[in-house]
Amino acid sequence: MPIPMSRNSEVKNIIRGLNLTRTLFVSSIIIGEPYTGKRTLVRSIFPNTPVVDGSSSMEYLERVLSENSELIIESFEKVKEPLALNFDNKRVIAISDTSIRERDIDELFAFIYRIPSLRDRVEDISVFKDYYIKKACEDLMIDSKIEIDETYLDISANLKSLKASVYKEALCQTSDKERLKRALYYYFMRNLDEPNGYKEHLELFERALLEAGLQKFGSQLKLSNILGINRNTLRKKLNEYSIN
Amino acid sequence: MSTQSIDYQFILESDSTPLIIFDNRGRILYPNNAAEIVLGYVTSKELFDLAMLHAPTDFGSKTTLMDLHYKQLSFYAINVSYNSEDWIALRLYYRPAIQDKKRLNIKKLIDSDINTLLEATLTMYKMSYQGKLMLFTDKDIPTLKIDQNSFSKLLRKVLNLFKSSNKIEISLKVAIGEYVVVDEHRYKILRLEISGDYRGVSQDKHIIQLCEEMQITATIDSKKIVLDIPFIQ
Repeated sequence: MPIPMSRNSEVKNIIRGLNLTRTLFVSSIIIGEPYTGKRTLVRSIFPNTPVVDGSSSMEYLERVLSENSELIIESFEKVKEPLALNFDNKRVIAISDTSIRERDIDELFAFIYRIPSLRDRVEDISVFKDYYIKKACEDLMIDSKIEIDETYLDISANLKSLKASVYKEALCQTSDKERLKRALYYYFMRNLDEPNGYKEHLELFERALLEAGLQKFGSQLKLSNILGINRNTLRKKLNEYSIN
Repeated sequence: MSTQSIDYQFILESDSTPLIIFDNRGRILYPNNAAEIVLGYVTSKELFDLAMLHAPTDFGSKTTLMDLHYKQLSFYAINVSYNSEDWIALRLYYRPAIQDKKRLNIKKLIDSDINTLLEATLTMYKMSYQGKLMLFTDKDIPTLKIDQNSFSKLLRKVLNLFKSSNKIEISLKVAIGEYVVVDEHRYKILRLEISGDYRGVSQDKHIIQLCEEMQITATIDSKKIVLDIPFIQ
């Protein structure tokens, strides 16, 4: 499944800039928070370029640089002595998180790109949400349609947390009775340790049942019939959980 | 042989020392070839005023040592001569260029399309610059040999100085009739001018250093930076 293109103008400019340098012997660096898509972006533009990790020894980095006319250096922030590297007549594309020293960047690189985090490119959230939904359906063998409200998405760790939240939501929406029972079992095993546990944890079941029922059937009268409980009992429960 | 047949005007014409002859109202009667270049950098009025200020008190010739700069042109002395009320001659003596010990390793330079280097840098620059950017370039400039990485780095640093400018004008062209000598070879000049309504100065020293390494002549004004790039082919 092809990874979707970003809709963000800054990311598009980075792609354009990197494409323009594809034939030039210049050093470029792309800096951003973890999981913002830096590596995927670089590898899609330079698919055949050798890759080395910045945590490698200086001897190894220098040797690889001397042996290759173009090179991708990942985790560049981990390079021990960045200023000792010689980028003359090389096409170097470095990838770094934001912990790298500004002075080193300015000294070493001709092209400096800063990729925005996902929270600063909201137009990309729905693009990647749809992509991860499809991927989750494929990976988890889900046939039914999944729709996820964006309030349930977690972008605190950019694409990584977004992906995790989509997968978790996909499981939530498609779990059968047995899986839900097991999920509750594990939940209670982890959390059942305070007194008054029965009443407190009953909410897990009752709230979800009442909220979904009210949403599905629209009126308290209908819901009380479906649930087979008295209307006053239902109203009392709804008040108890502050469900309107 | 008689000296009468010698064409003195021809000798003056091809002299590398600029010579300008003014009439008594400051109009140019004659500039030699070298003076025409100087007149591209300074007005004739400024030069006439200079000649009047340093003219000998009576008919004759007077040489004055002085530190004179017109953008990247640098002179160490002038000579003013006249023996008539109708004309006055000004000669400007170029300061000998200090031989830079650094030499360009031309074999290491790569054939480059300077417009592509410029476009790539501008694409990156536009990501953080919100003002108006105007580029005037000749797309047909042939490839030249240059250190692509250092030149792109230099461009980035120069452009960053104009970040607070509301507009930036960039022009790239071959400087007609001007040459630069690098490592005993004469090259045409590719002139890159970047100007705006405000310019930061924080990186000036570093820019000059980068230029020296690449044998690029930088003229740094308050709102403008001119880079004279040796057109090595």
